[in-house]
Amino acid sequence: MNTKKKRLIVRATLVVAYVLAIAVVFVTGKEHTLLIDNMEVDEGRIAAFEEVLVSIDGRESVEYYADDRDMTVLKGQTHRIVIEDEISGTKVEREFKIPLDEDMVILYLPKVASGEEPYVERFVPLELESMPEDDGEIDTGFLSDPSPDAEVVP
Amino acid sequence: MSGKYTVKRFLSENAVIITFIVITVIAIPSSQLSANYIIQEMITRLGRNSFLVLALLLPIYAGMGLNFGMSLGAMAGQVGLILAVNWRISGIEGLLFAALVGTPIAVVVGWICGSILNRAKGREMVTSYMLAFFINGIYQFVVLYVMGMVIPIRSPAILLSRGYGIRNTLNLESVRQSLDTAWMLTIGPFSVPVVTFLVIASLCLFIVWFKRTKLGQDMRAVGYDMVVAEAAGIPVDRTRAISIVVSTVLACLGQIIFLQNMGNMATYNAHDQTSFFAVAAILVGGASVKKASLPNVFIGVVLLHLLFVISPRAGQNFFGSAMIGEYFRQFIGYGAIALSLVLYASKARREAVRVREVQYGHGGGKKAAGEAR
Repeated sequence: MNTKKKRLIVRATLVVAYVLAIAVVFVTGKEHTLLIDNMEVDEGRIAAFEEVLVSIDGRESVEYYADDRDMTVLKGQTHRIVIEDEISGTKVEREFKIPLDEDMVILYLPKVASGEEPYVERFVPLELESMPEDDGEIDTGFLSDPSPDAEVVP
Repeated sequence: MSGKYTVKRFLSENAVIITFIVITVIAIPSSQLSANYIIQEMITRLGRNSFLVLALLLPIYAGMGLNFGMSLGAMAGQVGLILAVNWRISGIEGLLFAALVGTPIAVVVGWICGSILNRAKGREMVTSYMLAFFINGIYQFVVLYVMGMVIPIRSPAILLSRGYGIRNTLNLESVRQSLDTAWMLTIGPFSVPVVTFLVIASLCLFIVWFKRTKLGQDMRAVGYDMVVAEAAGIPVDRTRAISIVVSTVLACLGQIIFLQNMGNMATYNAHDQTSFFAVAAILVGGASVKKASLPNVFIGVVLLHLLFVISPRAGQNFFGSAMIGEYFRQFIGYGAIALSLVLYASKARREAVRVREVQYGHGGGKKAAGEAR
């Protein structure tokens, strides 16, 4: 193998390793919004918990009552949830996955406890809240007077 | 050599640093800030700014002066951060992602910058300054029009309501201080961001090691005399371009470290004064266009930012308006650069006169001085 070929292989390997590194940090660092839902499923087919303690990935437990819905942010795709029914004392521990391309998913606590899949579903908000307009006042720094208010103080 | 001459030379060589120390000593008591507050601010600002200032060293070693084109690297880092926020990559991973995305962009723009500076030998500083304006235009075009139109932007929170372009201010909450808080050591009343300082220390070690490598030695040779280096078989243009590429990449990483500490990003202005404040800091630290070292970086960051911290309060107490202190901040930055450049030019002229005096005797020296004017 001549030097040119060797060099080409080394460079190609480095490029592949670089792309892989980007992929790894993308997958491990990706955040997802998780909605934790404690409402009855299918008009009472599976009842909501009256009082339940929920812990995700070993975090501090949070207490939920019937019809509660909460939101948390998780990093990565695979997570572990522990549900403890405070009335009956039963404890359920399960693992769930969030698809990489999903930004917001909803997790139904009654479904998790009963083991009925899928207990994690994609969540699409009915209507996105409109963002405040700011595109009329873009200060690109070009041809504009320096304003002390616009400075980033180092 | 008389004692008087030595003092005069010491004062002239350290005029910038002495001026800063004098102003600081006068301003500290008038600011009425506590020692603990000032020390904590200095620790934070050392972590926030040192990496950016260190990025200036290699081009100085290569004789290319102060790299005002480092804002090119800063823009590359910002593109990385925009994409990290867009894809919701948080924490240290978000910073790594921004660095991994920004680095190839920094390499490309750094190489372009280096190639252009090779065509403007002797006028590198002003050329790099103007080049930063040119690349700024491209950056603005990409961020204002291409993002959202060609490059898909998923997050409506960072997109302008018209459907393309990035908002004026980007919230970096997902990566905010993730490097600083990775390991925060508390020593008495002070919090020290250990990981950030470890990253800075690694860069210092890298620079020390790099100076001893073949490429580092070539860089110093090129910086000392390009003609001699060329005659010795050193690829001058390539070596100079590499120094700019490394500086641009370091500026990219430095800007990411800077912005993660700030926690938000002025999308269209954050990079504007990156090179300006870094250059001011290294000059205040006692460096010149031709000579700089690691201590210059840290002395400069401490002195410049010490004055930045105390000047608004000193302005408030002296003149009844904090805004005077804010303007003083700008005045100090530009003043440090101007004073340093003037002193450098004057020293270079004196040196030229001295060399001619040695060559032609005293009469020749006077004649040469007249020619220099």
